[in-house]
Formats: sequence, C-alpha cells, structure tokens
Amino acid sequence: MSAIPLEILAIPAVILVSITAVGILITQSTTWLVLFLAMQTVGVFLLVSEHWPVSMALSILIAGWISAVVIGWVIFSPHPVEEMNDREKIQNQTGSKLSLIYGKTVSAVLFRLLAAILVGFTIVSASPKITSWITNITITTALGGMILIGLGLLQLGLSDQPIRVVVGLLTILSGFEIIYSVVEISALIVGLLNLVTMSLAVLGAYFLLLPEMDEST
Amino acid sequence: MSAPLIWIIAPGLVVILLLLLRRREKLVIGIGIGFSLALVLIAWLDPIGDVFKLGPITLTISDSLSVLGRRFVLESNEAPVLVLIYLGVAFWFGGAGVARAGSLFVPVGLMIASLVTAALAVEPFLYSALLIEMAAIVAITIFSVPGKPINKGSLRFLIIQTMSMPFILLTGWLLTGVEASPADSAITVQAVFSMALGFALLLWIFPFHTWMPMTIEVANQYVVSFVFFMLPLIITFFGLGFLDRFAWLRTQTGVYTALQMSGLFMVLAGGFGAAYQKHLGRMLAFGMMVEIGITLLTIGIPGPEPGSYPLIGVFFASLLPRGLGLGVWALGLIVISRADQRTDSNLQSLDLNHLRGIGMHLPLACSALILAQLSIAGFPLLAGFPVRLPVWQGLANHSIVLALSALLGSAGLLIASLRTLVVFVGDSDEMKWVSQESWSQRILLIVGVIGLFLIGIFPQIILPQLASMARVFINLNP
Repeated sequence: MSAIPLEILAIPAVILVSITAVGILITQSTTWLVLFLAMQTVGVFLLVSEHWPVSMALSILIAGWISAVVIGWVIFSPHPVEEMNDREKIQNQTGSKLSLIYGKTVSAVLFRLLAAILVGFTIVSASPKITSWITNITITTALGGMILIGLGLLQLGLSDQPIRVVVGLLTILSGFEIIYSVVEISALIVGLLNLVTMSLAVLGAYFLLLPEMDEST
Repeated sequence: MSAPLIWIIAPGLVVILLLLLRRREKLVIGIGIGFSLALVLIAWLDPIGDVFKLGPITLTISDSLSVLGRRFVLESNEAPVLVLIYLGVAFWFGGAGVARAGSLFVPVGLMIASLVTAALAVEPFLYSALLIEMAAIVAITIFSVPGKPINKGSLRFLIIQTMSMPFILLTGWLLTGVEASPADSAITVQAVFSMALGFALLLWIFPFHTWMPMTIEVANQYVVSFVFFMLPLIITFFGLGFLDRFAWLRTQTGVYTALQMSGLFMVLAGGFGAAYQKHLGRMLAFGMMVEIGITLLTIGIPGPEPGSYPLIGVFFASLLPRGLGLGVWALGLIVISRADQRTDSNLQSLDLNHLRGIGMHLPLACSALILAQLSIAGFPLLAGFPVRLPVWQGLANHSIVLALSALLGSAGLLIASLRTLVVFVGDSDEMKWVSQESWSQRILLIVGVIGLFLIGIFPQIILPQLASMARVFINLNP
C-alpha cells in the first residue's frame, strides 16, 4: 500500500491534533472532551502512518478510540439516582454530572487559550532543532508530536482533576508515539504502547467511578 | 514449556481467577500465598534448561518465549531474582488479612509481580520501561479508597511514572547512536541527560519523591509499602542493566558522581524529613527515601578499576532487611491506626499528637514499629545494620563527606524512632497496661521482630547468598 496519500495528509493532521489538543485544554464540556480525544487519535494515526505500516498505525487508532469510548462510557452511563435532586437527575441524564469546570469567567478560558498559543509558538520555533536531532523526522511529524506533548504538559500543569490528568497523559503519550514512530518500528512496542494507552483510559474511568463505590467493592 | 510461561503468564492467569473469587478474601489470600510460594520453590529448584522425562513425555523448560517478534527470556542465573520477587510477594500476602489490605490487593500484587518479572525478561531490555509503567498503573488501583476520590499523591505518582517512560525509550534509541559513533559528544550528552531524567522520575529521586508521603498518608500503609518494595527493586535492576550492557556508560566517571549526588539528596531529604515528621505514615515514606538514597550510594561507590561497582552485592543483600523492615513497620502502622478508636481517619490516627501513651495498649505493635524504624536506620543487632556497615565503610574510604551524609540520613531516622518511642511510652491518665492486638497480629509482629533480630545477629546465614545474586550483572562485578 502506498504511503503517499498519507504524507499529503500530514499537514491537515498537524492542524487536527493542534485544534483537538487546544480544544481538550479549554473545553468545559465532557461531551466535547471525549470527542476531541477521539478526533485527536485520527490525527495521531495519520502522522504515525508516515513511518509505520498502516496496520500498526491502525492499532494506534483503534486503541485511542477504545480509550475515548471507555472514558465516554463511564461519563455518560447513568449513575445511581437515589439521593439525587431534580437538577442532578437532569445532569445525570445528559452525562454532565462530571465537572470539568475550572472557572466561570471568560478570562479563565482566555488564559488557557493564550497559554496554548504561547506553547504553540515555542514549539514552532523549536521544531527545526528537533529535525536536526532526529534523522528522518519530518517537520510535520516533529510539530505534531511536540504540540501534543507541550499541550499535554500544559493540561497537567493547569488542572488536578483526575480525568483531566489522565487525558493530559494520553495527549503526551500520543505526542511521544508520533515522534517515536520515526525511530522504532516494532510490533511489540506498538502493542505495549497501546496497552498503556488503554490502561490509562481504564484507570481514568476507575477514577470517575471511585467516589461512587462502597467500601465492600 | 518455557520459563516466562511459568513466572509471567501463569501468574497473569491466576490473577483472573483471584479477581473472580475476590469476595472470598481468605481463600484469595491462601491461593495467592500458595501460588507465590510454589513459584519460589520452582525457581529455587532452578529447572530452566533442564529436561524432564514423564514416562513417554519429554519436557524441556526453555528460557525464552517469543511474543510479536521479540523475546521474553528468563535464564538460569536469574532464578534467585525470581525467588526474591515471589518470596516478597508471598511475605506481603501473608500479612494482607491482618492489614485489611482490601480484596484487590492479592490479585493486583500478583499482577505487579508478573509485570515486573516480564520487565526483567523482555528483550530488548529497554521495553521494560513500558512494563514498569503498566505495573505502576495497576498499583494505583490499590492506593485508592472506595467511596473517596483518588488522592493527589496517587495522581502525582501516575504522572511521574508515565513521564519517565518516553525518556527511557528515547534513551535506548540514543544509546544505539552513541554505540555507532562514540566520538559524537552531542549524542552522548543527549543520551546521558535523557537517561538521568528518566531514572530520576522512575526512581522517585528528589524532587520527584513528593507523591510518597502524600499517598501513604491516606492509603493503606501496608499496600503502599509493598509498592515501595517492588517497584524500586525492579527499577534498580533495570538501571543496573543499562550499566551492564553499555561499556562506555559504566566507565564514565560522571555516572558515579550522578549516583552519589542523587543518593546524597535522597538520604539527606529522607533523614531530615523523617526527623521532623509528626505523621507515622509519612515517616515511613521518608524512611523509604533514605533506603533509595542508600541504594544509589551503594551502587555509586567506585572500585579500583573503571567501570567496576564493588558494592553491588551489598545492594542485593540489603533487599531482605529492607523488605522485612518495611513490612513490619507498615504492619505496626496498620495495627495502631485500626486499633485507635478515638479518631476515624488514618490522617489523624497516625499523627503523633494523637498517640501519646498508645504503647500501653499496643505494646507489640509499637515495639515492632520502633524496631523496624531502627533497623532501616541501620541500628546494630537489627537486620539493617550488616548491610549498612559495608556501605558506610565504602563511602568513608571514598569520601568522608558522603559517609557523613549517609550517617546523617540514618541519624534522622534514629531521631524519628526516638521521638516515636517518647510518644508511645508517654504519660496518659486514662490508660492501663493491656495488649489489645489480636492473636493473628501478635503472631505476625513477633515473627517479623524475630526476623529482624535473626538477620541482624546472624547475617552470615542468608545475606551472602543474596549478595551472590550480583552475578546476574557479570560486567559490573568482574
């Protein structure tokens, strides 16, 4: 299978991962969080396809989607309705029981957006250096990988909500996978990376369920 | 039949069984202990590579298993390490019931053992970073308390362990570049920097240690002490693997300096932290920091030849006293925190301010805890002393500053144990002399204390055998 069409898609893939990573950072909606995570994986798939066989890259896509589904499933599954008031019941039905809110003011969103832009500028200026460090890496791969790592780190730095931490780590891991795809092609490493990705998602789901568990669970 | 099938896959399958049975706690603990001891026995008999004839059937236990084009290899010389891993697991499972470690502890503990064994076996060995990450992810499930949000320390642990993985994997790629062109100093610097940062994160080196006291403050101390034992053990093996495989790396004088400096920070931070602590659980975390620091100092003492690590055997010998000390300390903490009915949270009940005179009610738990603290501090006649002495001697021969720093770390732990002792035997108007420990608690605590004294008084019985495990790393121990 020719790799040329996927190379053409590298620039749109970088734009896609940038938008989704910024979206994950600034969204206060659980629905959008899960959707951005799933869309981000498509960008990662396109970027790793430049260097890995499509079959291996597809496994990254599937693992990423499974992770998004696992987190989404826990967020949107109905929670026990006893002891809930009417407002909480409506929130529960719409899957918005989980709070991702970090601030009520517009300035909170603006601050994150500006911080993301700052990280973006830093990465754009540093990417040529990375291409000189790692042979065979293209500027699009370096940009895509580093943007995810940078914005994932920013996410970790700005929030201690468990689900945001897990999504931040998944973002960093995706960025690393893009860069690592240039230097290593091994089925076992892809398998293990996918396993780590899915385990992180399951752990995120566990974090969400934890407060509702009773001690005998 | 292959060795990875016995020590990696089989425990993984037993984990599934244990998860299905997890409501029957005693049965789960029994199966966990029995299975772990069976694996210890098989490793002790060292059948790897042997041929067995069962009537017409010939059975060979090969040393490797191929998975997705790569191999998991457990050679005969690694059998003692397998003994140590699964003996440690069986030891911790032994106290799980008394420590009320939770229904997930035994299956998750066995899963961690399986993953760290896989990390030991995987080739290329750099892939171990991913398996250690898996073990860390699994460990977090037993740090959590059902009904409460995940604690911040555990989140920090997850971040630190996950961040280490990319650095280690990139190091592997950079090291192949260094081997291909050793004259390229830029790649060498990048490789060393990446490796140093990766291991600093992986081994919770100062300032990445903060999750330890944060987590142990709120989680089950016995469970956390298990992770304190298992993960640094395999991570140190992993680090020694780097030194063993890359000749250019082990001969760098900068490696010794880095080990000594990071060890120095850990010992001092741990010692001072323990001396000033008021929470007994946090004190254990700082004690573990001193242990990690001493490990780094032990490995970092240079030999007469460049690239030789003369005290590496002492590291292996120290694993048993460390395991025993941590286990007894944690068990003592659990008994005290559960028996103290005056408060209902670990955070308060292990605060020294709330424990005045508790020794009158729980004499065995308090004695065991103090003795475990003293053992980890390296106090004479206890298990920690025979393995601290050669380190102090080696450090003194190399640098008096390092030796004094190591002693200062131990002094910090000694002060912590004296402060604890003063509180435990302090005056309390209401208390009468009575032992409130249950019989199972008494038996485990007494066995632990006897173990601490036996190893301390007769170190020649078992420690030399443990020290001989250093033979696994043939290039470090010529």
